Amino acid sequence: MKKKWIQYASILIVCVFVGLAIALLMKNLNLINVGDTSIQELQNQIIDYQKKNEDLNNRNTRLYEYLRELEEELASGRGESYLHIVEEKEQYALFAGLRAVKNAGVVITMTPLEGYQMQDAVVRQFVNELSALGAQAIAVNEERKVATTEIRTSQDMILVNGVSYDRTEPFEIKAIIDPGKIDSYVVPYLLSISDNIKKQLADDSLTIAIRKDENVLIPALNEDRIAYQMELLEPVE
Amino acid sequence: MTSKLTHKRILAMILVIIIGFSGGIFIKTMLRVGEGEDVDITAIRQANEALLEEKERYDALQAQNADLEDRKRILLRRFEDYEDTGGILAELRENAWLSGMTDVEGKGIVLTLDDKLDYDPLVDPIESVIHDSTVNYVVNLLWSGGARAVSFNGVRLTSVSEISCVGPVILCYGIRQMPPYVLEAIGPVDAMRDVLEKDSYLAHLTQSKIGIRFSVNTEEQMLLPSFSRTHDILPYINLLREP
Repeated sequence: MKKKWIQYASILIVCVFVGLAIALLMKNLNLINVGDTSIQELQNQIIDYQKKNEDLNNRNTRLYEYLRELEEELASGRGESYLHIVEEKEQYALFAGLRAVKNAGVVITMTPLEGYQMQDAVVRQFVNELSALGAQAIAVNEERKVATTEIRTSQDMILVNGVSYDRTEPFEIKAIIDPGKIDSYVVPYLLSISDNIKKQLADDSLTIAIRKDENVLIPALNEDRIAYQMELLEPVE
Repeated sequence: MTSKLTHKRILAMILVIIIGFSGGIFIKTMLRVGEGEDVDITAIRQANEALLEEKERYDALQAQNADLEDRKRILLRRFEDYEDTGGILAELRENAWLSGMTDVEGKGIVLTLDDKLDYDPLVDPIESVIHDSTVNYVVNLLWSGGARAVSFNGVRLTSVSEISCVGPVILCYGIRQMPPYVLEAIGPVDAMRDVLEKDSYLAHLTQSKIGIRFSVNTEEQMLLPSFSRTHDILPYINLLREP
């Protein structure tokens, strides 16, 4: 009888351990399945995709509406759709920098002091910072920045869109930017960039003036610029 | 009688295993709850599911976008039948082309930039990781070399290319980008390669002490996506007024 109870007890203990082992194994499998990506990283990725989806959804909604209007017009005759095509054409022209534009913005004037030659890296840094701040149109010395704009030194000159500017002359960068952020964020931030640049350069290098302008006028890209040369590209039809 | 006894034993064994299993979970939960591990696992699993949903939605939106763009092309072709819209359509296509709002093909290069292998912030210089300024520098080199169209990690660069950073993370149009960073450029291949190979700053970055990983490959035919494949342009032109 005693032997039988020992057998039952042994089986009981073994079964309890088997159960425990299965439970622990399942836990570990769960840990493996969730991978080694941190929750923070996953949340960042979700936010990125949410933003991408929002942008693309907006684009698709507008495109859908545009197509609906075109289809209605094609079915009924002519009129409004012609205007829609013109509107779209003008939006692309604005985006490409093919039209002069105006609005509130900032003007940065960099004046080299005696004996100093302006560095392309300084001009580029301000242009890149303005782009990152959300500037919608930028011009360097009245030369419109477009997708293909290069800013580089060539001996005593700095080339912008292939146009040469003397490195000893002042450089002016103008940008149209969200008016609501100019005083509170854009100008203070650009001043801090300016201070950093001055610290890196010698004191007697250049002066940098940054000001808000309610009526910044940015010219259109000149038609003889390299951006208009598309011979190496084939549009996909 | 023996069979009945065996059934009872089997039932008892199953019951005991279930008790053991429950006990195991209970013990594990009690042990780990203080460390918050269960909460983390659940949160990570939920986040993974949410991410998968967002990815699926993105794929669906991209497919929808491709359909809509195809339909648009077909519809606009039908407008060519009208006499006085031909010129407007030609201008529309040119503007789309110049603004990066159309897919383009051509010969070009694929350039890859990556941080130093096993970058250690305590030992390696700060230049050993790719910064927004590094990417902007290389993009400027590509334009200097005559590039006609460039994309960064699959997103077409336009006149308002926003490449910036928040801490160590590079953003392009507000979206985080992860290394390796891939720049694709259509243009004169020899001239672009020449500019990259002769640049002293790039040579400095790629020396073993800094360790930036950099490669350039030529592609006989490559396709760069339209900006419209990923973004709507309205938020990028809504401040612009005609004089």
